Amino acid sequence: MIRVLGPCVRVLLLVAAVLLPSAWPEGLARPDLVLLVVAAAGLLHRPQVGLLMGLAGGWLVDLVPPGAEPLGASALSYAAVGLCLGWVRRALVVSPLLPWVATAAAAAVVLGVRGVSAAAGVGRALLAELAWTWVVTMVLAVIVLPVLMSLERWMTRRGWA
Amino acid sequence: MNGVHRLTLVSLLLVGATAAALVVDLARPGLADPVRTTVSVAAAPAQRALSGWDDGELARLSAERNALAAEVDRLRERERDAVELDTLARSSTAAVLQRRLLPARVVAFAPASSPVGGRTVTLDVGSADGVLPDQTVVSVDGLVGRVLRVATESADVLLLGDAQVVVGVRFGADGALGDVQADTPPGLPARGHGELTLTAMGDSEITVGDEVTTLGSPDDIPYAAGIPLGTVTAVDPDRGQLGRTAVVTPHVDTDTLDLVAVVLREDA
Repeated sequence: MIRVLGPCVRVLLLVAAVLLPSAWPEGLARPDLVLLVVAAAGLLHRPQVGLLMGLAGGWLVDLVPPGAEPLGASALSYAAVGLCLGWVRRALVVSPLLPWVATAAAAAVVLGVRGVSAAAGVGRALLAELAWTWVVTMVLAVIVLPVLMSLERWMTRRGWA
Repeated sequence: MNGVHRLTLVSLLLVGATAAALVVDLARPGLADPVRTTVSVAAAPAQRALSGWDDGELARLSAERNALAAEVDRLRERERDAVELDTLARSSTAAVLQRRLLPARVVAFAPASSPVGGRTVTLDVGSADGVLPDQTVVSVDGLVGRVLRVATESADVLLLGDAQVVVGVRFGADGALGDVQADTPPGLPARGHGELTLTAMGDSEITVGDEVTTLGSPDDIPYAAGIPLGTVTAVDPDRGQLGRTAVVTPHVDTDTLDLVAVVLREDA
């Protein structure tokens, strides 16, 4: 029963990550908070957990207004990133900086997919916009990622996850 | 079956279900609208609360200013239409005379991380306020976009500059016809941030400084007529494209939208 608490906390974090950009000042690039929540779980647990977190986060990105189209594309994109972070997590214990670097690469992949699809004529993406989103996300990751990873470790120690 | 195998199986099933949902949504785009509407209803109060961080009085005064400025636009348009009504047989002209504006606030922007880049925002008004799909959305500066989806208390707006948006327009002193879209035809210079492409119909000349306004559609769906859209800032060289093309800088900066208005019909 207690193991349900961890997934519940993660879902609440994902919901907050999707809704909080509404409070972000207008005119500033919005950070990808969902990616940070997915990365924190993916970097500390087995790949399946990262994948499931990515799926859940991506579905929220697709569905919470104004949402994204086509339905399920964000979910698969975040799931792939969560899975990959889970795979490489054991190689990242060498330095405390490496989780941040891995998250930076993951953010670049997620935004890169958008850029590539726009270049292929599906949707529209501006390079400057993507770059600013990445920069803001990674600046915020300096503070938020360690906090989220500490929360994940705390939940693991208590047997919640 | 141990825990790891069960987790792997659940993951595979959910990925399969998501892939199936993706294929279905691509094949039948409107099929998931009830799900989106349900999520909209659930998320609207939180988004409204989170976006209302600024001073309420400022918001009220800004809304009033926007509504008044839009009213001035409307009256100018009405004056011009009254003179030309006999000669203009466009049904949209009649629609111009029946505009009513519903002030609204942008409460959420499209995520920058979705694989397919779309330019949409969510407004804090919905079907309960009389908003319907495809209605025009304006701000004090001009055209913002059109309503894409409507829930009870929120509405998603497809912004000018999205790859799906093509707007019929009039430009220049003579009101020449053309269309404005985000995509740049092959062979033309790359556009800057937010810039759009105007393609003239026929042989009409385009001049830098030409004002571009919406052409309008019957019953104002999806765009009402005479709404300022942007200004021509550069004319493209002739490289064999079908019509003359030019760069249009929109009046509205869709990155900093806050207070806008939905153009309703009097009978809405």
